[in-house]
Amino acid sequence: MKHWKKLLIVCAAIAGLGQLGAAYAGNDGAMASSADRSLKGDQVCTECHDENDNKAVLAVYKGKHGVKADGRTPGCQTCHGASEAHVKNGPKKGEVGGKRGAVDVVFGAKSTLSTREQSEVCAGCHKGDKRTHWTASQHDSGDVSCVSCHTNHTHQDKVLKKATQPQVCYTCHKEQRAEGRKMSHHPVAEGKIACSDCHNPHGSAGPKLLKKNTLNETCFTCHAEKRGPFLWEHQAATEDCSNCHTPHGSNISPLLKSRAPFLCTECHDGPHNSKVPVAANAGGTQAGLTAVPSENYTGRGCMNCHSVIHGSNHPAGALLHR
Amino acid sequence: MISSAAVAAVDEGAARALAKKNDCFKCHAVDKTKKGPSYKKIAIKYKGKEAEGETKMIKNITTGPKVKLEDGSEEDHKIIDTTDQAEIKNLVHWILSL
Amino acid sequence: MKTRNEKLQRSALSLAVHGALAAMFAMPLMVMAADDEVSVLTRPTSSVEVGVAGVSEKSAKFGEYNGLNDSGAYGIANFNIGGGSAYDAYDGGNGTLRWEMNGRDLGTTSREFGASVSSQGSWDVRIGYDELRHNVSDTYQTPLQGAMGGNNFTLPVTFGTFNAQTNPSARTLDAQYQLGAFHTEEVGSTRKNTAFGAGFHFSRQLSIRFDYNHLDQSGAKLQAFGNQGGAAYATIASGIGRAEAVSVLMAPTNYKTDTFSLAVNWVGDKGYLTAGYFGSIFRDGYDSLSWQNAMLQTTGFTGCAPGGACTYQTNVASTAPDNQFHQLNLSGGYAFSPSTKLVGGFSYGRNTQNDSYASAVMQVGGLPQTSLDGSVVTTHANLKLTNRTTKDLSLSAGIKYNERDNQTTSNTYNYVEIAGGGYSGISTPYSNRKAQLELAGDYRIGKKQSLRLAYEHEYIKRWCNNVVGGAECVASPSSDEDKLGLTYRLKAGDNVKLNVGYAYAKRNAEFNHLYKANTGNYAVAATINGGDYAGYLAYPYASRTQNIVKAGLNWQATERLDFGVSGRYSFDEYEATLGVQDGSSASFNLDATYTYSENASVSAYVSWQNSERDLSAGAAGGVPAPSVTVAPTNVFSNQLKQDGSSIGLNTKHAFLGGKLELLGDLSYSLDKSHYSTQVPYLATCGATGTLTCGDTPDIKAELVAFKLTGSYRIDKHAKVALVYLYQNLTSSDYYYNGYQYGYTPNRVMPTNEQAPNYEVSFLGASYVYSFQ
Repeated sequence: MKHWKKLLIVCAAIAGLGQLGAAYAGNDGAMASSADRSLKGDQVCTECHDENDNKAVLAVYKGKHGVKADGRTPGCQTCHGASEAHVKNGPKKGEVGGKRGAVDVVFGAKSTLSTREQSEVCAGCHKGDKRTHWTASQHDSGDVSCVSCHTNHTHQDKVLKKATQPQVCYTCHKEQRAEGRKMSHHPVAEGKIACSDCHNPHGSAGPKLLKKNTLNETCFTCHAEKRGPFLWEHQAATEDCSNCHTPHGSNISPLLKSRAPFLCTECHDGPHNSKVPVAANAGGTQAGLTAVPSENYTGRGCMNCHSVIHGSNHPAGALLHR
Repeated sequence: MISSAAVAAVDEGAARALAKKNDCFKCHAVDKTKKGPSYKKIAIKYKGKEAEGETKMIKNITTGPKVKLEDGSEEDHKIIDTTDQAEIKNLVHWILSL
Repeated sequence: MKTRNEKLQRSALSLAVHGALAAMFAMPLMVMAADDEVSVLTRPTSSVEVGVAGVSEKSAKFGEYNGLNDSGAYGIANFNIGGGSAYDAYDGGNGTLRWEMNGRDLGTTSREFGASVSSQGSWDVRIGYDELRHNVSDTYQTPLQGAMGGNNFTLPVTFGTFNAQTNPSARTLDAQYQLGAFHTEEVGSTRKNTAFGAGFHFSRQLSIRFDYNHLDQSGAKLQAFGNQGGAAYATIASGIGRAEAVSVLMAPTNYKTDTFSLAVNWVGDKGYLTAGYFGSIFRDGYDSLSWQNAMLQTTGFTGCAPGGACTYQTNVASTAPDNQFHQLNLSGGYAFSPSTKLVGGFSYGRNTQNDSYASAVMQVGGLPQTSLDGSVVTTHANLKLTNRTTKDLSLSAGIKYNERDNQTTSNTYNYVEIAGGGYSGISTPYSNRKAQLELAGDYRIGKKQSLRLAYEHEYIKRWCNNVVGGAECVASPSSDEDKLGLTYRLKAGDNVKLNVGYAYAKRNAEFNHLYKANTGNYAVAATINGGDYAGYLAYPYASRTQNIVKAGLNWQATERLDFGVSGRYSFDEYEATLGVQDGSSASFNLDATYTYSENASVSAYVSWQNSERDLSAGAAGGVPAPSVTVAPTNVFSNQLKQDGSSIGLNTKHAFLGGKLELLGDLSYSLDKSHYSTQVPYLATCGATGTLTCGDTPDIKAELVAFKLTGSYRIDKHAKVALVYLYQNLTSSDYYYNGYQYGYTPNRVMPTNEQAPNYEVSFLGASYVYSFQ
């Protein structure tokens, strides 16, 4: 009960701050929502930024934002602002290589706006559904904006394609890139599954931006045979697959954090051989052992017999043998 | 007077690259009217009087005088970000060759 | 303007490809717009790639997921074509229709195909097919007869029985009838996904989306099983190899999973709401797995000599039971003001399983029920309030709640376990609940700096609803964890970005020494600690302190050169007399990219990772009963140390004015895992007859990969591409040692499975035709 009380107090405090914040309101609506969204309206930009431009600005027309017949799509100035300083001010007199005035809303590294301010432009239309949990999510708080990952002026956004998406995520997530090269890995490098098959980068109700409410629920999407409920459950497995497995890559197949019997010894010290020290004898005769190797330590170790490790539905499977 | 040999020696790739780098194409296109006249229109204008064209263009892109835009308004011409005369001449000769 | 005729003269192959496509998809051959440059920018480019490739060596590991399982020739076939009136937008068109068809790796077992049609803002329909062959092993050998993917494995009548030789060198198999019966199987599992999805917008505010996926899995994975000795189990005398004799089997993965999701989305000015259903129905084509046992005891039962007409005991194990999961989801948000938002969600799910039990051959006293009638209810709720009081200050407060309530009945099952003894098992259906409170504040200090402070409290409760006898079923009935995080970000100038973070977490776990695990025999149960030594704690349930430090730096040195450096270190410490004591992990990454011209760049990276885990455990032999804490003199330690490093170099260079493009990619990675055990109370543990202290051999994998791709553009539409790939894997893993002929423990049927090692070259040549 004490947890709920704490929570109520915090919520009340935040709500109070919210009232103060109302005075500051209005920033979200600052975008030129009244901008002319038509092709003609775009001409103020496309007249100069045409096919000869250094950047493929016109490619916005082969993306979803360029489909003018869809009444929801923006015009150039819907996202980039009216940008009068840019439209009306030519190069300054006598300036070599002179530039026009600045565009109101520039996206990406050269923007004068914070990543959050940039994202708010997109969030004006893109709200709800998969983005429900965006605000204050890991990426939102971590200085990542929509355009950190997405490209609009293109036909097919790299991050929306299974085969190319990991390249985008690996720009920041270098550890996962390295893990993906290990002996045992999900087929990400092979383009068969993408980061977004398990994660929702826009924020989620689950841990680690996982798509589902819990880690296990996410894993069971593809590995439904391990969902049970089984007659004999393995507590560690019902609670959290990551007690034994690591998702992005491991030197120990299949995606294990440790090799049996050592893996099992991290939780078991009672049943027969789990209390026995094991070292090079796990490698059997080839590792220099002169006595008969034990099936308790070699190969699958404990799982030579306790092999129905994710849970058993056999009436004689209490010890996960069957 | 620009000889036909000089025109033939124009490096189109380099000229286009320089124009692109300096945003020339924001106001000019090869064969359509934008804020400024198309390069083809300029080439036709100076057909037979290429020397005059060359002088005029070099003046425009190196000193940035007020120029009349196609819609009748006036704006300062942009000054090119290079002092390499050979590069500039190549660009001008390419325009005249169109 | 180019006419159709001019185009067709270009190449016979392009004619064939284009013609075939036109016929297949009734797609008009589009006449290039007058302004090709505009068209290239504003219309999609379709492409078709056809070619041939060759693989030099057969390797299950090389082809594990890429579909290149065998040596020899493969067809290269990829395409991506699309069009529709939506792409007329820049030319003033007012269409919204868009269609696309794509296929990838069609010549391999990693093939996939997709198609979609949509009218933007109104509706969309998509279908997809995706295949993946997951190779498990191509060196597995077995004397058992029965095809991979089946669920019944038998022995040749002449195989005979074996075991019992205690001297490793004598553990030989009969050459004619036993060794001769071994055959190699290619073990793997094939996944085929068929997907269908559709969406419809009723209005700008209201839309609906339906997605369906059918996953069909066939093949097998390798799983070991202990054999049951003898027929009249209760009467079996003790003896070497009597039972627990191990057979490694091709356990079938004959699975079908149907997944449905239906969601209704509503978006208003201030609020949005998603209501949906998610369903997942899993079916296993088999109810059980059976196999024959060739390893009989030496006492009490008579073996059968190879070459004779032998009979064997049949063992039966369960396979994954059919199960269903149905879930209702509701999530939404509301903006009280532009600066204050509330989002939340609620899910209610039901996971049931009532598959008939597999053979009750091991049961001595009948069954309390013939199927489980298992039922688990999952509940989830979350609520988060966010506020941006000023432009520089963001606050958030949230709660999360997750519960897995296992309502399955607990029962007693009496049977004879594989070691031959009577066993009385009481099922313990586990339930758990997790409640989290999250508070965070972000503060921007000017334009260049920001600070984030976050606090989280996590409460976990674990229980069993109804255990026969009422014993506590979990070691840790509850835990409380407090987490604190601090992140600082700095933009120094236009070119440098820095972030530094620190996190601290403290978990206090309640511990109940009186718990009984279902891994303990209730008939002869240890009275405390689930049969573990007192003082022993499983690491997920122990009190823990965690410290994490991380930092990252991005430096754009020049317009052409940039660097990225990041690192992370974490240290976990557990409060446990026995069990995992501590664990640490560290990583370092360095990236550099140099773009030396518009058409050329080179980039390189280095990644290094290290982790360590220290464990203390109680020793067997000469110590009191497990219920007593192990004396300090009988404690041994085990350390796991893992190191991984990888380096990569890739270049991209265009020549001949962009006509020729070369991509080079070279990478190297080395991973090692290593265990070290110290047994201070034994003087002889390092002797060759025991080797219970000291180090294991390394689990090691070294991978070198080199890929060179060259493409030459013949004209606007056509290019030819050449790909060369070289990959070399050297791995060693002591895991395989105990399964080799002549090296197995005396109760293990060898498989002779080998650690993957390969050196494979791949060469592919293809023709790519692209058009608009």
